[in-house]
Amino acid sequence: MTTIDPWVHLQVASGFSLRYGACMPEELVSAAAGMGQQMIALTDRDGVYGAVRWMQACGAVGIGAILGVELAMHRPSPSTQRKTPARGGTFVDDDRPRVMFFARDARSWASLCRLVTAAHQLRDNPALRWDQICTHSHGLVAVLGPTSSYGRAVCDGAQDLARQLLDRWREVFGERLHVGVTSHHAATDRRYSMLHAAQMTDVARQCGIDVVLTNAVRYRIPEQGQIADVLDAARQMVSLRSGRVQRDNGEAWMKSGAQMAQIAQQIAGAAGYRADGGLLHATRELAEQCVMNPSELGIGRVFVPELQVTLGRTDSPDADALLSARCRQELDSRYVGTARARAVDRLADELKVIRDVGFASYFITVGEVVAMIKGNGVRVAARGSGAGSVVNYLLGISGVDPIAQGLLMERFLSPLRSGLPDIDIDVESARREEIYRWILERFGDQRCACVSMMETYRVRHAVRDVGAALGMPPAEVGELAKSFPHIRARHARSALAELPELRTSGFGRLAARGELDGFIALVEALDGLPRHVALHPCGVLLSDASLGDRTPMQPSAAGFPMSQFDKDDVEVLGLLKLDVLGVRMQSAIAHALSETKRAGVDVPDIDRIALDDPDTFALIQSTHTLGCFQIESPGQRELIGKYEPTSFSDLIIDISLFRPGPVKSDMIRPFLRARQGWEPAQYPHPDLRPVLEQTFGVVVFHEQVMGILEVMTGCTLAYADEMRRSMGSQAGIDDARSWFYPAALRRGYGLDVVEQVWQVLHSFASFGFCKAHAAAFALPTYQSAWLKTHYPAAFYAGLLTHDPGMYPKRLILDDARQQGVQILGVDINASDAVYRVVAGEDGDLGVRMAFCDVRGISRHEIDALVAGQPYASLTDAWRRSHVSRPTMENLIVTGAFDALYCLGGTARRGSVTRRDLLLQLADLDRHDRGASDGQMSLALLDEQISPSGLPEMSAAEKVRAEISVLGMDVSAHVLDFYAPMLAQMQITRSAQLLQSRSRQQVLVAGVKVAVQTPPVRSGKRVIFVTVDDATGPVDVAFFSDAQERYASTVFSSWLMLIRGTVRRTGPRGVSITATGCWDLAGMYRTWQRSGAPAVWEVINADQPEVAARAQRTLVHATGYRMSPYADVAPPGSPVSTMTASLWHASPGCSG
Amino acid sequence: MSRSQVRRQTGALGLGTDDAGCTILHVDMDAFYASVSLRTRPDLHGTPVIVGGSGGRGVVLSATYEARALGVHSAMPMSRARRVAPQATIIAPDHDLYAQVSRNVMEVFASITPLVEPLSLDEAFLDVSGAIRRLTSPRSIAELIRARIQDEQQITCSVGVATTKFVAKLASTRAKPDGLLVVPADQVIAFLHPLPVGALWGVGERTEEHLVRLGLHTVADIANTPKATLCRALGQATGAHLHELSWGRDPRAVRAHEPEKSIGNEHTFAEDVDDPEVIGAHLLRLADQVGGRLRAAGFTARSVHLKVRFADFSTITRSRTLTVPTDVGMDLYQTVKSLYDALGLQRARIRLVGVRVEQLQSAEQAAMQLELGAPDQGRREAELAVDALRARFGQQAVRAARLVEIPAEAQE
Repeated sequence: MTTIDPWVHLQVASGFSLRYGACMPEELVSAAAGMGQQMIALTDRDGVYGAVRWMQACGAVGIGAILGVELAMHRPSPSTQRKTPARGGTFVDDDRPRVMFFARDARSWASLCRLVTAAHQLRDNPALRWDQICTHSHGLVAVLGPTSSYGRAVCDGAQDLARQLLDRWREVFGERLHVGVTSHHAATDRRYSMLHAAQMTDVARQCGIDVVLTNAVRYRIPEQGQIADVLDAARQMVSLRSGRVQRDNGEAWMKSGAQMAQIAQQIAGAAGYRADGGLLHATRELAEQCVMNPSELGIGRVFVPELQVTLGRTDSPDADALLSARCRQELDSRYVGTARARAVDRLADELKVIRDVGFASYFITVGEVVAMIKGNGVRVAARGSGAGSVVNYLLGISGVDPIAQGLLMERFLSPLRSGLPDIDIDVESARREEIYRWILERFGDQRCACVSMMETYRVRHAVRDVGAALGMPPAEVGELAKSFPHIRARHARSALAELPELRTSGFGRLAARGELDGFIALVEALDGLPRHVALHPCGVLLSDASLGDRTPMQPSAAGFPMSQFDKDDVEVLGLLKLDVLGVRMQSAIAHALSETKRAGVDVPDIDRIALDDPDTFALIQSTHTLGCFQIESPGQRELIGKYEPTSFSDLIIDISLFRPGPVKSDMIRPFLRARQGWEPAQYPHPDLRPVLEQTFGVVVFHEQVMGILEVMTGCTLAYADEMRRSMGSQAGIDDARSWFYPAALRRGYGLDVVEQVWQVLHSFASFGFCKAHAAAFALPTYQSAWLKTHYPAAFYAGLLTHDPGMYPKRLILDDARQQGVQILGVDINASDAVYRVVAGEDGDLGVRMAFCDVRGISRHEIDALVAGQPYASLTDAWRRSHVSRPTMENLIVTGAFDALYCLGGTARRGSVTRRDLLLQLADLDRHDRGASDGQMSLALLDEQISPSGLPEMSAAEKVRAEISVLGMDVSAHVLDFYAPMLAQMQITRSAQLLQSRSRQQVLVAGVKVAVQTPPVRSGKRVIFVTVDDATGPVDVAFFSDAQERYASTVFSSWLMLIRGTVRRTGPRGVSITATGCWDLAGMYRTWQRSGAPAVWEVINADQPEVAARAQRTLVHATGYRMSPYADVAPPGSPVSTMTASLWHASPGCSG
Repeated sequence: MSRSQVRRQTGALGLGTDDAGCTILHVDMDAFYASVSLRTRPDLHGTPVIVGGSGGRGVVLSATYEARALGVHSAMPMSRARRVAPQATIIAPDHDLYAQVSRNVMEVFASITPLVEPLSLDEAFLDVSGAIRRLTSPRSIAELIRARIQDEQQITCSVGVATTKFVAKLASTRAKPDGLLVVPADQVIAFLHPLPVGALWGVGERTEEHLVRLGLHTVADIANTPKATLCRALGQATGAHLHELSWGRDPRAVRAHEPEKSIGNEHTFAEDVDDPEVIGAHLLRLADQVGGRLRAAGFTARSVHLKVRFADFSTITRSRTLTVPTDVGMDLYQTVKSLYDALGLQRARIRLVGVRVEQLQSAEQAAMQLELGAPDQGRREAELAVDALRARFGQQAVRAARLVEIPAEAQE
């Protein structure tokens, strides 16, 4: 039993003080509680980002939470204006005066929120002006500490000024003004010295101001001072070694009451008071005034935009009546016959629930927002559990009929749910910001804000900041950072020891010798600390005009008002959130549709097409689904190859099955066996057949878990969903179990049945997938497959313009070629900003490459180029478009002028070439700069270009230029240039793989297009690599034994030669288990030099090391294993950023 | 053994052995600093060795061929070298020793011909046309130099023998390490034309990229392109120059003493520095040194250049042309300091600063103008007095007061 410690820390910065505080709220709060302290304040810099977590943490350990903020005072700095031309970035003023403010109740909390919002009007350097303090001071407590202007004046010996400052503050805050003193035992003439604290106390007391004691806490224990040093260096952007970092002297840790009492006595002694001079008492007294309870933050209440505002009306109609009327009006057009009767009942149920929980105006609001977006011609689709509600369907929020698809309202909203319902909508990503602006305009920034999110330190950023703080060479730091997969910072040390690609690297060897120990310790210490506030990609808060009283707002980088709370916080605070998520596939579909229209093709309304088109399902079954929403990944292509979906509901199941949970818990195999008729479907009890029939007895959906509980216990679906949710934790599982057994037995089910069902529920409940969510996903999946089937050119134009998938564009382009869609190169007179559908030479529709992918081209240049079309000559284009010379060169070498000058085809020596155009451009440029040697006249430049004798680009040089300029091989596939070697060595092509037998040894080759390390059942890391070889994708798995030897090659090469064993997984399913991997370009050189036998010699001599070192697995509460390296982006640069590196030492190119 | 191996290689190039008229030699020490350092560490022969600042920072000065095979090259940051070659031994440089060995090597050259044009401590062009009668043939002269340097200095060198400077230099590079290559006069074209364009004198990375973009990959491609076309692509001067080179024509003679075109000193900090005070102090010292060198050489300078290299190795230079040429250190300092201040760097981490002067003219020529600035003259007199004191009592004898705090080792 800890004894009570009466001390209260009034000044505590958590990790939410970006690059300042070293510990997260929970650690600090439980440390205080552990010492017996009964209250603790949070005073983060510049915001209250941590307030909700602080409140929750204090609640969890039963101590009082005090909420404050430490804000900087504005001071004009001449340097903030100046743009520095060289390294070192903009000016950082890290030493502005700072003042603490505390809330005492709901009213002053509102003031605090408004005050923080005001400070953030200065975007990158939040700071307060005096008039803002006066405006928002209501009820607030202000504490002037050592870094306040008062503290500085005292430190400078300017006592008169100090008194004036106190008078000025007291005019505004009266009795609520305090002076806070701190002694960190700093040198006597500095802030944070004992003498400074004594002088501050003395002057304040003379003026009759209460003085409190703080310790300006930044971390829990002295050892963490080092982390604070790194943060100081990172924040001030100077290296620790330089000695120019302002840092504390290691005393800013969380001291005990006894230690603080000692400090109080020293200060009081120096100031000439007896004992502690009343400092401790005053501190506690202030703390007691400021303790907040959750309701004072507005927790537990919901605020919806005023209906007048939503509807733009002056009167205020009854929300329930209005919602009901709107739904019933729509119902008749959507449902007929028996379905209508069911729909009427269902609607009545839902409306009752909505009325009971009082959310009618919320639904109306969301319905209005969706209608507004649609009215502006933007595609919208609901996602998530909201698709389970017939109200959402009738309001046009969701496009999936919940009754037809068997979706449940209770999964979305029930009277028992404590949380708010979440309606998520997907919109075209390219227009997301526009949509935010519309919403903001409609509701005003008084009622509407985006949600923020804290980006925290993961390993790469931690390495960069620690490296910079320690003054390591930036290039080396960058190299080290990039060699890690995107894991958590705390796994840095084990990754260096465990992952073969890291262990065998120079860093791994240095680490093994202990030379990186100190460095890595600091990297790991930064784990999880916030480092940047960003705009959450989708959350929009909608509230009434009091929003600003409940959340501080700051502008995002794009200028949107953004709440300082994250998505979890706003849920706790009862702030209603609408998720508006930008989905690139929606943009791609929109672009495809508008392109068909432009090309004069009649296309049915994609949102009304039948969901049973056999051609579409034939395409899906063929697994040629690159570019299709949700079903293009290697794993999904393998699954649909085995599954062969034939209906929309198959797609829903397919999407639900392809989740980490089902994969890990082995749900897929029994499902497929039953579906393919190899085994009969098994039901634990005949009563459960209706619930489980659609999935052959396997539990796939949350809705099925709810159904089972309803059938077996007779509870309501709402209650069943509460039980299902609770089963995420061990405690919840125990509770559910002790409820389920008696309830089911009471209903007459035998113990064996109950046991069996419980096993199923136990293992699947937390892993199942919300069917409504899957159904919402399945719609764009079907739509994209439908487009690919019937309007391929438009489909590819959409994909290439909006790049929605996981693969690099060059693979999409290659897929288009294989599907017989003609690709037309960039053309100065025919290309546009985006990919266009055009009639090709044979009349079929093809895709015209866009200007947007030309390297280095600016938005402005694209607009100018398009506006000036058509051009009569290079000179004409140069004169009128004003694009830069490098951009024009890029256009020339990728063939943008080929059509204009009739280049291409057979290149004869003596005819005009792309090279001649380059020379012409050089002449033009020189002429413009007045540097023309030969005094060439403009007229001469305009004349017909004469051949200079330079050779035309070879086919390989053209492809090389395409890759370096466009990032894509347009005129031929990269691998075509390796064809002689591939043929001679009998390397298997993707198209031939389907003819290979299981366990056959093969060699494959290709360009890397995807690398993934998804979670798998064994809990080990498996690297799945997809390479593309001009006939299609080849999917390869590297298990641990192959990783030991080949992981670094896999991550570092772009062109690969892979040896492996064929694994047949079904009629259309083939994948390869790798037993070796080499850089193809290197092997090609060997082949050129010494022939195929030499290559075989290398391949045969190079075998995997069987004794792979063990890697850790993380074991979850539910018993499932997962590799810490699973599901993170792999080391190196992302595949999508593949550059000309692909071409290093490629055939046909010297140099 | 190694030498006979090289001869076989030379034969393999199919260039023949006729050295008539090949009077230009390019002699280049192999891994000079590393080889010299290894003389005292024979145990390290055949192992990867890196010469460079042993601290966490600094750059690789030189590396043995074993270390180069691992990916180490000179001018690479030391920390990177330690990563790519963790097993390598690191030896701290001994600049006095290198200077001594270099002098010895140059003496060997001087004993053969007065026409020696040193390019750096460890390489030089020799024109041996006057020595042939005495020492039979260019080839045997080259052999003699190689043998003497090996015997007297225990380091190896490579020699290229050709009719022109630039071919000789290419030949010595081709012969490395520890080799000799003669490019007979009638084989110059055969030797040159298969080489990549980057081998040509004056073709840097950017020009090479430009040439490759035009489809010109080899020297032969350049040679077979009309000169007018090259001039359109690269400008008049460069185009004509490359065309000449591609046919093996290089009119430059070996000159025993190239007149100095610029004088400059640089300082690389032991650790990256972001303190303006420290940087200012170093600029003062560098300016002072450059002023001293100017006066010693009897020059005044018209343009002053500041060079700043950041921690990430990116480098910027700024320059200013003076209205009146000067050789006064304080003038130079004031100019570079204002150039530095104009950069507006608040906390950039700086690795290196350098001060350089260009547009030199003889001091007598400028004397008249100098007299116009009366206050400056006092300063100039003072610095001349300092020069005299230093000549007598050493470089450290007189220093600016603010430079006293800088440790002597930083003031090389």
